[in-house]
Amino acid sequence: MSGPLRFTFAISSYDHIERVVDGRVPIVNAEPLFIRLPIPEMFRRFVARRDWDVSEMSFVQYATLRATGDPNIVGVPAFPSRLYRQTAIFVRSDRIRVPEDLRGGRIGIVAWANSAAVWGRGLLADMHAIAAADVTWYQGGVERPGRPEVVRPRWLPDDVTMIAATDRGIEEMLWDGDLEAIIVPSPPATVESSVRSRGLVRLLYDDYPEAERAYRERTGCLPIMHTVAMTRELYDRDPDILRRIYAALEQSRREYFAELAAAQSALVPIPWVDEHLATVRAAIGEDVWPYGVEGNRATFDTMLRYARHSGLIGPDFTVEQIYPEWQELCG
Amino acid sequence: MSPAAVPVTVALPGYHHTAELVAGIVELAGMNPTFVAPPVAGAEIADLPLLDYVTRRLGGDDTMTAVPVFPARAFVLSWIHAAGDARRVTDPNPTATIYARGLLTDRGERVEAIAVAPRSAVRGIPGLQPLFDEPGEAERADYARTGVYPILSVIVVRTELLERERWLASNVFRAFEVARRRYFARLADIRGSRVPIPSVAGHVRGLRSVFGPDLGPYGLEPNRATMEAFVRYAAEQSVIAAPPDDVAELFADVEPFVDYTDGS
Repeated sequence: MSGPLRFTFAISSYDHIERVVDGRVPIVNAEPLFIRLPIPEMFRRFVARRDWDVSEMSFVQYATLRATGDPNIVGVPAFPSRLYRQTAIFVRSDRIRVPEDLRGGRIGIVAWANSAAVWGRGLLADMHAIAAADVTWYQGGVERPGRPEVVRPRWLPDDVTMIAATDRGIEEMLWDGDLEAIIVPSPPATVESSVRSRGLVRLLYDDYPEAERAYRERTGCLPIMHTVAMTRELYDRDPDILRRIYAALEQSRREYFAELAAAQSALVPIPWVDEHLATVRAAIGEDVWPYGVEGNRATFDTMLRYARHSGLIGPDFTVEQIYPEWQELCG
Repeated sequence: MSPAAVPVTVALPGYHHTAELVAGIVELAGMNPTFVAPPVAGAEIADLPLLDYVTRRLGGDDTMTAVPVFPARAFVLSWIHAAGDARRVTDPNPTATIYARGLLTDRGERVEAIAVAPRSAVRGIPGLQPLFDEPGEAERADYARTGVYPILSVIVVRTELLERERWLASNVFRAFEVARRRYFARLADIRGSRVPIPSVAGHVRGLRSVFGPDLGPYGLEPNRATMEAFVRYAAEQSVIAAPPDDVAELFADVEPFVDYTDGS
């Protein structure tokens, strides 16, 4: 290699990553151009058009691509966004009082393989024994109708019913009473204001901190929403860039936690965050936001189980096949 | 930015709730700021330990005037250790030590040999015993009773600049308040994890039962009890001669913050 590697890197705003973006933690021998746009646009343009060389992207989508043998994207096991999806499930409070009421109901999702939908279905199964076949799934846009056909994933069992929402968005269907619930990564404004004012549409889990705690203790996992990935082309030009990007993201993450621990400087203004982190550590381990593969086995195993139940991956796909290039280099 | 914007050097540690000011996402309206890490002599705007500011000001030095912005604060009962023989441990934050001694006195407890530092800072030092087994419970109970959320630092502005530009104090106040609110909105975001703390939105929501809807607001009135406790403690501990008649004397008068999120 002669001179630093130049590439574009699309990533949203995260306190654990900001040091890489603003240059306080440089990526060694690299000249990244960072691009920040709304998340759906960054993800879409990376997957559909390869508009940038490195990108934050949906973890479920990344794993699904790897599982279907697509070799064109190489992942970095660093995780900008991790969330319990208890806060992605919105219900009509006139019909759904407890999660078990969803059995036999109609739930709107933006896409079968959407991360919030995959993790949402998984938690309904794990915590309330509601299987995918116990619900009728409506797939479509949140604010606009979706495409007329739904693509059934290759391994999806026949007993799962999926219907395309073609005349209205799922937001409108929910308000019209044609759905009991929606599982969406980002609530539309009408839903958000209804949740805030305790209107007709609410979060399934009124006490979501408690629901998240129970799920965390049951599964030991911290769901991954987003990973980082690069084009095969960039990787082929300089395979070691995988290690250098990972190293910078890991360093930035460590510096965040070092600042958080240095309580005498009061740089992070969250009262009693140490008490909160102690309860999280008791459930998922000392490192509460691990990167890499080893520290994330419980989360990966859970996600692969959910993706298998959703028919997105086949029975033979294993944890080792998610980040093989990284594991060979760094694992 | 207008070419006539007032150039200011701002000495500010890397507080996460002021990061959007430093990044230029939140504007210090009318100013052209250069951010530097403290300590910096000669900065027009600076983050100062509350103790330093109060002693200087009450000692007759009015070079700098505070705006009621309090970036660093912490509940400090968890910082208190019975020091045993290890009395030479330096307290890293003298402002926190004043609060700690004052709060202990108010609770009717003995305060002799204590060291005041976060547990993470003194882990492994022999002879130090945390005074409280469940400090969080004690801190919440104290806060519910007294309304004191210890203030460790305050934003100060060169007095001569405030006299020259009568709008500037309120603009500084507003910018810090907007950045603080935006930080807490990031914590509460259920769409993505803006900070790497699992379930942080739920943790912050739970804090409403302690603080009400706003968590650590700036401004004098919501912080009056905390400021009054500090100057009383400082006087009781002979750090200052006497508390001021009104803690408002320590601050520039600023326009209260109004959220015009829907307008411009």
